Amino acid sequence: MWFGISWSLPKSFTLKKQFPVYVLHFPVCPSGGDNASFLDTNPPKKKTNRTFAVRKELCWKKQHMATPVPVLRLPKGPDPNSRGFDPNSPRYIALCRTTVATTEAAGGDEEELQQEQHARSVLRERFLRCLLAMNNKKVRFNMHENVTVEATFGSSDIDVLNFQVSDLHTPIGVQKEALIRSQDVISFTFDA
Amino acid sequence: MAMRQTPLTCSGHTRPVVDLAFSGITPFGYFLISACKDGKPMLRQGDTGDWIGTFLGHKGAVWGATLNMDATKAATAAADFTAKVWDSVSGDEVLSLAHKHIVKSVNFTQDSNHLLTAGNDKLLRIFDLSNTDAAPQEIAGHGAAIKKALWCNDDKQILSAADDKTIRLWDRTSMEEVKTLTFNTSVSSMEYMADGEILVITYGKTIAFYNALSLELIKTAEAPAPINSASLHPEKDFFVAGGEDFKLYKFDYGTQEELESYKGHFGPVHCVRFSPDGELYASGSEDGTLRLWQTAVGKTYGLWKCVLPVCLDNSSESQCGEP
Repeated sequence: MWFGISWSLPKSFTLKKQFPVYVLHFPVCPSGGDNASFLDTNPPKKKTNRTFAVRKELCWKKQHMATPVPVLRLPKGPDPNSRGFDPNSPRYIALCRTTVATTEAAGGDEEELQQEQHARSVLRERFLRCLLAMNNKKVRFNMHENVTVEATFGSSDIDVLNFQVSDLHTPIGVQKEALIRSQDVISFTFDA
Repeated sequence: MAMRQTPLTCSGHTRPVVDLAFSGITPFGYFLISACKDGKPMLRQGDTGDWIGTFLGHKGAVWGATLNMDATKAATAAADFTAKVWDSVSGDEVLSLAHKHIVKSVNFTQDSNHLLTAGNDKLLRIFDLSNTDAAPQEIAGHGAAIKKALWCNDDKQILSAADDKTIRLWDRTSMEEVKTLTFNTSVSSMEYMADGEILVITYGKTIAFYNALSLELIKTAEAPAPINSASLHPEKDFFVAGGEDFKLYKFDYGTQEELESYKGHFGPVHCVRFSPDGELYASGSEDGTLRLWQTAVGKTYGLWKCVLPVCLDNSSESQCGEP
């Protein structure tokens, strides 16, 4: 043994006429990984021609002293199917207002509030039934810049951000399948 | 025993992350918003990096993003010539503010009633969010595209950094330029700390600290590589910087001595910010990821777990030992 390097003959060596083949074993150092801070902040004294002893010492220190901080789990990534902002999260429940504020009567005019809630639920139901009725029907979309396009309606996504349509007739041609951004649409009409 | 830093990688973006900002500390913790060239800024829980939602609506690369102090509103600046204000609880777009060119920077006042925007049209604009029909106030003066604009001095003044190699201090009431700092090279980033009125500026390989009121130099530090962004710890013990060599450097603020350097990113680091409690800092890179790094390596915080055999932390909830 000479400074951590060992020499050995491979077990398969049998032919006497061949030149001897020696296998070098260097001390195994863990992969540097992400953190090279120890070597960066404690450079060896000899900048060139480091001895094997110094290398061995540095490798040992790196292996035995720098334990990575364990983590409970990795951060959660985005959900591919939605834009997030979970409505069931405590923050959402505590802070989120409805987009159209209800009339808040101090002291609680319960009847008026109930009527308003009833009207809201009727409107929501009508919109959803409308989306269902439009399925596979020819729909005319009135968009910004006086653009009107016709297409066969497919469906809407859960946040009503996009409409999936087929055979979209545009001023520059017919698109077999397309997504229309709902914020670009002013209104749409169809024959039920 | 020395601990090796384990960064938490937040994936999700598909293009380089160019800006990030933390909110203040709210009853629900603190939050982090990241601006990305894929046009989809994301909101994350600040201490864990968990994704909360994506703000959908921009039609171009998002160059700047910010949150207000209580994290109820977000604002983004994009290459589609608009700055947008969002409800950061529901993720809905509240306002879209049209500009004449790419918008690079947005910043809320402390009361969240006004928004400062700046971009490639060389103008600073102040929007009144309670009166959106009114035209914005405009401040002209810079000779080139503005990279960053921030409120300072209790929202009475504005600091702006532009590609004309200057940083200018403006008075909000008079809309006039108060002071100018000129550099030999373009300033790559600017951060303002209200507590102590310190301005952190990076240019070339230098990280410089200025008094935000007088624009007098406090101190400078040199890094081994060109630096794109730096951030000062809230307690002013350390500052961190990241740049073109993909590494993050941690310096002692008192002595300007380099303490640590961390590898991890696979591309140049574009932005670095300390969290409001100083326990971690986040970095955004060309490789499309955000990484969260501990200030005190080995401490139990967020998703990091204390592992010392004899735990110095007296909390009964902490678990020590190898996972």
